Formats: sequence, C-alpha cells, structure tokens
Amino acid sequence: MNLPLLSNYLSAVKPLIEIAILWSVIYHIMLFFEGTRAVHVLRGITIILIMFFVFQKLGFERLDWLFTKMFAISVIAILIIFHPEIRQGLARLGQRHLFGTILREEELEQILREIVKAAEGLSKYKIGALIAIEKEISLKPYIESGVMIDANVSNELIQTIFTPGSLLHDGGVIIQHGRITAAGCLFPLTENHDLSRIFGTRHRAAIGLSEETDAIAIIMSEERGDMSLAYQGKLYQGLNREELLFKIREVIKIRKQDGGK
Amino acid sequence: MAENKIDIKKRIIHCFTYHPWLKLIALILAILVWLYIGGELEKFNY
Repeated sequence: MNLPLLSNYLSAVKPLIEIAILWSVIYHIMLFFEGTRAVHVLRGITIILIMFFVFQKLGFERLDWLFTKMFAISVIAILIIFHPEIRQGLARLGQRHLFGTILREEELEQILREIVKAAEGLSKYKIGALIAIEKEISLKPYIESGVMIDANVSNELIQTIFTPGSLLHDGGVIIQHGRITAAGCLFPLTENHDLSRIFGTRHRAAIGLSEETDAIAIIMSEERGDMSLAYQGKLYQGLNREELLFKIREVIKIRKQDGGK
Repeated sequence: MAENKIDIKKRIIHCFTYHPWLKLIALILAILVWLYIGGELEKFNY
C-alpha cells in the first residue's frame, strides 16, 4: 500500500470532514432555535460574524478591534438573554438519547395518563380530537403543516386545543419526545376503501398516518363520543379509559422489544 | 410494512427540501468558522 499517497489523500479530505462536522453542528443549533424568538437574534449574530470575518480579511484594524470587543460582550449578553431557552435546551439534551428520547418509566406513565385523561374528557363532551404519538419514524413532515407548540403534555392543554372555536382545534396534535410539539397538523388520509362510511376524515387521517408511519394515533369521535386508536393501519375502536391506556402501553412495549433486538 | 413506505429516495429528497436555506447559511458559516480558526491557529503557530 502506498502510504505517502494515502496520507496525501487524508490531508486533502481532512478539511472537508472538519467543515462537514462544523456544518452539522451549526445546522442543528440553528434548527433548534428555528421557530423561536431566538432565531432573529441568531440571524443578527450571523451577520455580525460575517462582517467581522470580512473586516478581518480586508485588514480594517479598527473595525476588527471593535467587532472583536463586541463579540466578547455579546457572548455574555446571549447567555443572559437566552437563559430560559438554553436551560430548556440543556434539559432536553439530557432527556434525549442519541437516536430519540428515552423517557424514564414514570415520566412515560405520567404522559400516558395525561393523554388518556384528556381523551376521556374530550369524549365525554363529544369533542372530536386527534392525537399522534411519534415512535421511531419522525413526524417532522407533518409538524410543518401545523403550528409549533413545544409544551409539556397536560390534560388541560390538550382539551383546550380541541375545544370547538379554538384556532387549533382542526387537525391533529403531535406528541414527540414526550412533549406536545405541534397542533393543527394535517395527516394523510387512508386509501382503504373497506373502511366503514361511518368514519369521517379524522379517523381516515389517523389510519392514514398509522399506515405511513409507526405513530400511535388516538381519535375521539364527535358524533359518537367514543375513543379509538389507530396503529399500523389497524383501528381499535370503542375503547374505554382502561382499554385505551392498556393498548397504548402495549404498542409502546412493541417498540421496546424491537429496540432490544 | 409501514416502515418500508418511507424509502431511501424520499429520505434523500427530504434532506434537500427540508430547510434548504438554513442548510446553506449553516454551510457558509461553517466555512467561515473553519477559515477563521485556521487563521487563528496560524497566527499563534499551533
């Protein structure tokens, strides 16, 4: 094997690898802030950084000095201004596994109880609702069709979202990494012609989503007031509180068993 | 299987269509940061 050639090749590729890693890190930081108020400040910082670089390259010493000082101060300013966002982000990083969220057993149980409580409350008053819980396949394409929320899963919030008259009551809520990520999301409708005509768009969207992804979709019917669950293209309808909780637990357990293989 | 429906082709297309501007800006920034760090390293003879 020609070693000098290999080392030449490596030294040529190294900058590309370094830039690719930097690109990925910067992109994920920007993606994290996308949709928050921090994104405007991030844009400002980007412009300052580009200007700083240009001034340095052009040899404008005074401007370079000014921007260097400003940059040092802005780091402290960012820490103060974005204290809540940074804290939230770090907390989320702590929760997140490399390829998704591994929630603690009791956290997961608490979230499921909140969802089921909300489902029961909504079905009691015959309020239509659709909740999708992400599993392995990302629901990001559907999140983009709705409105970003990013809130803790709570019975009260879910019920408020689906209250008739609320701007987000149409469409579905997406629960991702143990948080309500978005509401008013549009899901693909199933092409299944065997489905009974008594099921409306909400049920068809839930089944469609469960066919396209491995998400768990919970549906509350506004006509009958019953609770159903769609998973892998199958609809489990007319569930009571205990049955719904049992079914969700069972479906989540499938993921754990798959992950363990 | 439902998982097979999201194929590799769709994933690749999604890579290019999902936040293209953000990716471009991130790439420009990455190159700038890389050049800046290179300059700083040269300055201090690391």
